[in-house]
Amino acid sequence: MNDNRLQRAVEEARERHRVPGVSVAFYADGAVSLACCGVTNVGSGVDMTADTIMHIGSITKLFNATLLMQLVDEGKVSLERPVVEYLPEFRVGDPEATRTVTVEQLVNHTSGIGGNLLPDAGHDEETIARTVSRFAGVPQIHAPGAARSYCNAGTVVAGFLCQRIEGKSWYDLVEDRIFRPLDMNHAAVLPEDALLHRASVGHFVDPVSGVPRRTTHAFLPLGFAPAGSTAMMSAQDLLTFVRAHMANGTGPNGTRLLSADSAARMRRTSGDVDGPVCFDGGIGWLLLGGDLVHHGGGGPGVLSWAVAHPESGTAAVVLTNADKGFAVAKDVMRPFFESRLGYAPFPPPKPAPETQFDPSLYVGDYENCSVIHTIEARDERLFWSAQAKAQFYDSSPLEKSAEKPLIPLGNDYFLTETPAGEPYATAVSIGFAAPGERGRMEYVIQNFRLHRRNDAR
Amino acid sequence: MIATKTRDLEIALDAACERHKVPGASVAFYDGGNVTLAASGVTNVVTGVKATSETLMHVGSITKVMNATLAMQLVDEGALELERPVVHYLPDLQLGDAEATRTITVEQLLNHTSGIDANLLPDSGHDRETLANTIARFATAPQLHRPGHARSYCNAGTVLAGHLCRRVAGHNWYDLMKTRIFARLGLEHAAVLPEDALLYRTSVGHFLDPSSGRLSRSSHVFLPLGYAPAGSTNMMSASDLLTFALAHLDDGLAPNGSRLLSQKSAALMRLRSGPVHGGPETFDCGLGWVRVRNDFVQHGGGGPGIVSLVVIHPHSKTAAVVLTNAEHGLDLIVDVMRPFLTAQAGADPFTTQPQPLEDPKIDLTPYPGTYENNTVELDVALRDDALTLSARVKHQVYDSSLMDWTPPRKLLPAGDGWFVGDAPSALGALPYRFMDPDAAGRPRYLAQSLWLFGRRGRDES
Repeated sequence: MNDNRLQRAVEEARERHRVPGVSVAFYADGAVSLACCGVTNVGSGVDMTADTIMHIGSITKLFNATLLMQLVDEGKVSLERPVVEYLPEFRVGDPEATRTVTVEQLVNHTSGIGGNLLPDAGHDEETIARTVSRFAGVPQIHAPGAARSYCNAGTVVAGFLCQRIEGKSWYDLVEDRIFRPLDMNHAAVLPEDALLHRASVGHFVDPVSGVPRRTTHAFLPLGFAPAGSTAMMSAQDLLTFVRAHMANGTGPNGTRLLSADSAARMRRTSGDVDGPVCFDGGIGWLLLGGDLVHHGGGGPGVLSWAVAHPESGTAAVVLTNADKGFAVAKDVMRPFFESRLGYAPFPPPKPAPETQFDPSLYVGDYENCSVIHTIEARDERLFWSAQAKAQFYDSSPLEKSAEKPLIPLGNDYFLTETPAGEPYATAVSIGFAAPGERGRMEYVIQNFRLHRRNDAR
Repeated sequence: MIATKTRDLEIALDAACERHKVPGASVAFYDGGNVTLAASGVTNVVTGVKATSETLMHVGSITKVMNATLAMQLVDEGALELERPVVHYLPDLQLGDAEATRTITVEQLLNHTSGIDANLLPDSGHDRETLANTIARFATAPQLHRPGHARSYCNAGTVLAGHLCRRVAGHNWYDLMKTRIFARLGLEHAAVLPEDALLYRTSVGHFLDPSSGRLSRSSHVFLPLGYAPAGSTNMMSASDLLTFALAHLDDGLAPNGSRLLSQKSAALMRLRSGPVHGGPETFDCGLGWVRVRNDFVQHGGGGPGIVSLVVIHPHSKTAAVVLTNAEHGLDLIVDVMRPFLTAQAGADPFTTQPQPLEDPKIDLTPYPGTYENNTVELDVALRDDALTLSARVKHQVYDSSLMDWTPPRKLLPAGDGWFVGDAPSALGALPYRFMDPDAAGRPRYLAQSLWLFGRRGRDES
């Protein structure tokens, strides 16, 4: 793609969605295309550049999984083994899960450990080791291996495991084993190192006025670093990492990051799951139809996304500094992938308003450790609202969200209707899974996660 | 109070940055009625982002004055008494020396007379480098001198004071700084946590290679984070630091009308405090504030590639702040501050250093020896009828530290135990002073800048 055309497309998408700053790196036919625009921070007004480091959020989980697979390559850890073999002090709320959760289940999102996020314990307390010890009290959202639900906690335990096996801090491992070998010079995994670079912070776009407001917190709780609270980099450096995966473990600079076997294994479905699945997952990577692999990342007012099609050597990275940034990512990625593959990831959902459904099967409260989804029925329609259980800075008000009507998409999936007067709102997808007794749904699937029915509420 | 930006000050600052090869600087002056601001250069030579008056820059050890203010707030509230032993509040306190553990008072932590020898410890890495872990590491720290008997700039005491505030107030130290200092003063461009600094336009440190004249960005943004109360993490705009200084200038009353601390405590912080028994001291100070000549009180700050200074002159109601992002920023600070302070106060705080004697007839034999604290060793030798000094850093604190012995440098007698080295600086040659002679006339200490270095094998004074 012509860089000027890409630059224009990125600028248009940024303005359309009122996102302060965007940085994009595309790769196709052996060539890298870069584009960026806007500002790093509406408060400081510093311009975005291609070297600006931005939050990659949960895309960090790919780095974390890569670290783990490096240790698998070196024979230091075995995916099939129970975690307690390596971490005798490992505890989750459920004793059976404590005994049986395997290393692989930590990184393919089938461990079922709750603890999506825990309240920030405050600086100096919020460490990876302490976060892992706080999991001792968290319940299971499902039995290990029985379902697939996006799991931050598992990733943190995996990062801690790497730290323990190597006897080095997780941050040093990411720097020494990934950033440095790949010559990623615009990347920081420690908050204090981010200040060496031109760095971006998150923003929240008001759904009505479209005015972006800078976040009050640059990071999610630091103890969740292996799940993605701290890592920042340029779009170009993230693309370098993605290219190493597409090239079966060899970086663009010729350095081997991990074995070809491990790189391939990370992209294959991992785990034999009988129960509800929120997505298809490999190790680290999330898998889409059409041989696309991807991972997204969020944080306080940030949204990032990396998508790759290894078979054709095509990849796209979009980093934004706004909560509504996914809209920008979809807009700029769609023509890129469609022109090369004939299809694009995350096609716009097609409402099927004529779908017949029995509202009573869906009505109820569904929750995980951080959010409660409430589904109510009126006049043969379903309505959704959500309430955070713990405050994560300005991104999650504790009040119940305004109720929104749901439009059926078919197959037990629904989409929130955007109310008139909210041009900058983003629609939320709500799925239902595991019909139980009398056909009532046991789980809500939202944001890649299972939320279990709780009739007691 | 309205801050104005004067073109004159901006021009002077631009010229000074150019002259001293300082990448970026920010200035805030108060002349008794008005605040004047200026900023110049870039925040970071790699990114090229412009420094503005809102840019957060390292204040380094100036944090110690804020930390002392926190402690004095707790004194005001009756939660803390300066005369009490620290162990009264921290029963689990453990220092290397049992006597020191039992006797060090709260006041001695704030006036640099505790003698705890843990100037800096090697960085223990993220997730380990916490305030609590740093305190635990003091369990093996030796004493540089008996508590209260001498004064040597003491990071460890400040860290312990921060930990004490945290324990007494029941909140983490960073939250105390945010709620009790920043929020009360209405500061809007200040961050005491590295992760909060990212919310702002921020500066990083730089080093000048003297041979090539090239500036390089520091590889580390902060000194070890576990030393936060001593000043490793704190960053703010020059204007916000001036607001803090003005609250002290006005005896505890902040420009926004809120009371930062009692009038009595504000005054006490500027009064001379310790040491007892006329022991050796490298500088004069109150609680937090450093007292210098002509009735100025001040505090400087350093870090990896940064220098900062705040000065107040209560008599003339004058305050000045200059923040720089260069290791060699002090020359610029003196250049920019001196004309302003002289015009306001009729004097300046910058000491003229002792000069080498014309015809020294001094017995040099008492001086040779190895003088040290926990981070630095100074080797003084007598060679060809002249004293020489060579230095070595015991453990690496990022790019600013040299682990190898420096080549021996001549020390020229300047009288009264003073000697001057041959390193050039705006303040004249770097001075050293041999202090506290024992019965045989051999000095127990060598003083350099604000630090005492104890002679290996010295007896107790």
